[in-house]
Amino acid sequence: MSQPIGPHWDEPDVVIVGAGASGAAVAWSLSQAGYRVVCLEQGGWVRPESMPHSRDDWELHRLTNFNPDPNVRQLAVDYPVNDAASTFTPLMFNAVGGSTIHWSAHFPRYHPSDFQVRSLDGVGDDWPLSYAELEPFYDLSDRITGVSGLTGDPSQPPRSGRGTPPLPVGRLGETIASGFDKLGWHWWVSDGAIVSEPYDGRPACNLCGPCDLGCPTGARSSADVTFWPRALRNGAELRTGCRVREISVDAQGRARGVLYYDAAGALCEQRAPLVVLAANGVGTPRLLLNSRSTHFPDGLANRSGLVGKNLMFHPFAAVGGVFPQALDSSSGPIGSVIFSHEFYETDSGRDFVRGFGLQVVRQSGPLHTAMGGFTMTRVPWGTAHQAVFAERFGHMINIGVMGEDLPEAVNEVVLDPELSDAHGIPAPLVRYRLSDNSVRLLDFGVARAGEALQAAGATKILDNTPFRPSGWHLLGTCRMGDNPAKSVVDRWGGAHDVDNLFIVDGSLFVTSAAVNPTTTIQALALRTADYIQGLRSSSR
Amino acid sequence: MTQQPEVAGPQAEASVTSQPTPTSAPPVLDAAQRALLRSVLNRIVPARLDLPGAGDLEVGDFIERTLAVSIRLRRLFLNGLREVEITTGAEREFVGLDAESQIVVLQTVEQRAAAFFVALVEHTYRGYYTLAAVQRVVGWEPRPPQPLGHSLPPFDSSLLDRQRQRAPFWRQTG
Repeated sequence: MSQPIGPHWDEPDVVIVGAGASGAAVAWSLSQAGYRVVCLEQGGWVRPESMPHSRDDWELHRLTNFNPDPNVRQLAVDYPVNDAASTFTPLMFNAVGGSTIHWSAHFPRYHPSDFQVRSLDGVGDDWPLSYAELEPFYDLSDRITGVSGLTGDPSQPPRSGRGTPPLPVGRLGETIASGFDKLGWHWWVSDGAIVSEPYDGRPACNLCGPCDLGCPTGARSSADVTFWPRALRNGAELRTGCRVREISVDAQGRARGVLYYDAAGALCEQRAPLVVLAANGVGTPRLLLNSRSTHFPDGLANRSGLVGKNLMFHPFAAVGGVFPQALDSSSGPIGSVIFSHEFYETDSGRDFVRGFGLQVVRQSGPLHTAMGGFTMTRVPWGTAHQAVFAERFGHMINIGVMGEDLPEAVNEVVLDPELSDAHGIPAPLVRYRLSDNSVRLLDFGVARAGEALQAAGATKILDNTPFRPSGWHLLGTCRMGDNPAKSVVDRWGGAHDVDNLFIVDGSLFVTSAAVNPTTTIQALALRTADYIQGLRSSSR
Repeated sequence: MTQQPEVAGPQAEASVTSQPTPTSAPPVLDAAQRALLRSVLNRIVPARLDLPGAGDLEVGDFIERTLAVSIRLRRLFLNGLREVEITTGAEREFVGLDAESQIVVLQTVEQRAAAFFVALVEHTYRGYYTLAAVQRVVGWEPRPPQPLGHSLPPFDSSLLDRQRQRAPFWRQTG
């Protein structure tokens, strides 16, 4: 290893790579316990005034520099992703707060069964922990994050009170709820990481709509307004504009720190006795695979050969119903309305295992509708244009069909042999295809979504299956497990091969469940931070 | 399963620009190209009773400003406009055709120059639906989401009464 040309910084107790949901949670927890924390983030702070919500051309930003796809945005802080061989486009955002900046903030928990899919259904693998073990960390995460919702949902175990009441569902939510009721199916108001009342110094949501473009009021609980202010008050140091190239190792094969390019482009090394990776399910395996040494010729912590393998998204389809009546469908947070878990669990009468959730999604503005809205079925050009636009605009309810993904080694993140980022670091190449089980699951789910929309009064159904730009959830590429031959990290997120390296992002997921993962990512990160603190206590 | 187009976010790959259209930019079209584009746009989004077509609403200016900052799109559009002329034929001009004949030409161009055409349609929509005049007539208050937001009545929890009567059905584990 050549000597870095930049400065060595004073050693903190821990260096964290990535300031998104999981990195922020760990930074807060460890700094709260007195650890000296340094976090390196390749992006910067996204200031409220830089968000498009107060601009007349706000809808154009969804298609350009606020698009969730880094290949579309092409910002200096982004790295390219080769996704040509992937059914789904991997989506992410590089900033303080990470992808929670672009987050629709649906905030569900895993079901208890999600941790035991091998035992229960003979597929995937069991997690080395249970829902009960994680529950206190879910509660802690909820409390710091700030959530809205309602307890009492019969599809879930009892849980702690939500911090604020449910968000309004409007005519759109009431209409589709009537459809679920007619069919005798479950529905419940969504858990949202959006506060409906003032909470922890943040204002209540004013229902402006496009959470996917950021939240300039701070009502939506992205990590930059929840964990980070607390962590910084505790003394954590957050260095933005710092892109990590690799994890450096010492002569014994332990992590020595990280090599990174600072905001001025200088190559530096940040040493620390503990390294925590929180760079998401694509970024973390990319870093590990790029950290080759004599100890780890195939990439750091990769003696199992599983770094980058078992990539999971969520099999996803978008279904839209066109209704004769106006539904006020652009008012309120775009992604947090109501959901149904009627088909969440395995049913032996179906031709697939595991299940899916139905998530109700709003429309956005006129441009979004013309471009095809949530289902991306574009309004036709020509003589029919005005009539079709009028039929859809403000008259649609959308349902996202989100199924459980199961780990398969053929779905993977590797280093691209040709493509690289602005610093010459190899870009990730993503290979992913839907399994036969997922195809059958989605076909069944799309039919059920259409049924619900029709029961609610829809006169036309549009669908987009599978929905390519739905790779929000990047999971499984450094899976957790007790057996070092079959997993990358142990039950605490510690790398089997490197005892001072921890992973806390979605890459350690064993299975995907059929719900949005951020709640679980943050809870697991807090649990790992707790464990790290225990290690120090026990070593004294 | 339906066949998927090449998409990048809620748009076709061919349409992608990494930045929003600037409010001013140097011209890239000559007068004839500008007139042709205007005529084409009036067929992509035709007039309605209370509003002219997209071309007559100066959406062409919006597109031209976009072309000024994207070499890739500029090439695509210049070649595409030439394709419209070729398809129209040397003996006539697109701008002089009746609406029905113009549509026939554009349907042919849509097949022959698919990448251009999808970018044409999507950038027409970008320009057209960000005009305040258009937003007003389609029933959208022409203002950004903030600072006013929207208002909705609070959630009526009695809507969940039927659901509350259901016994817990989450799967118990050991």
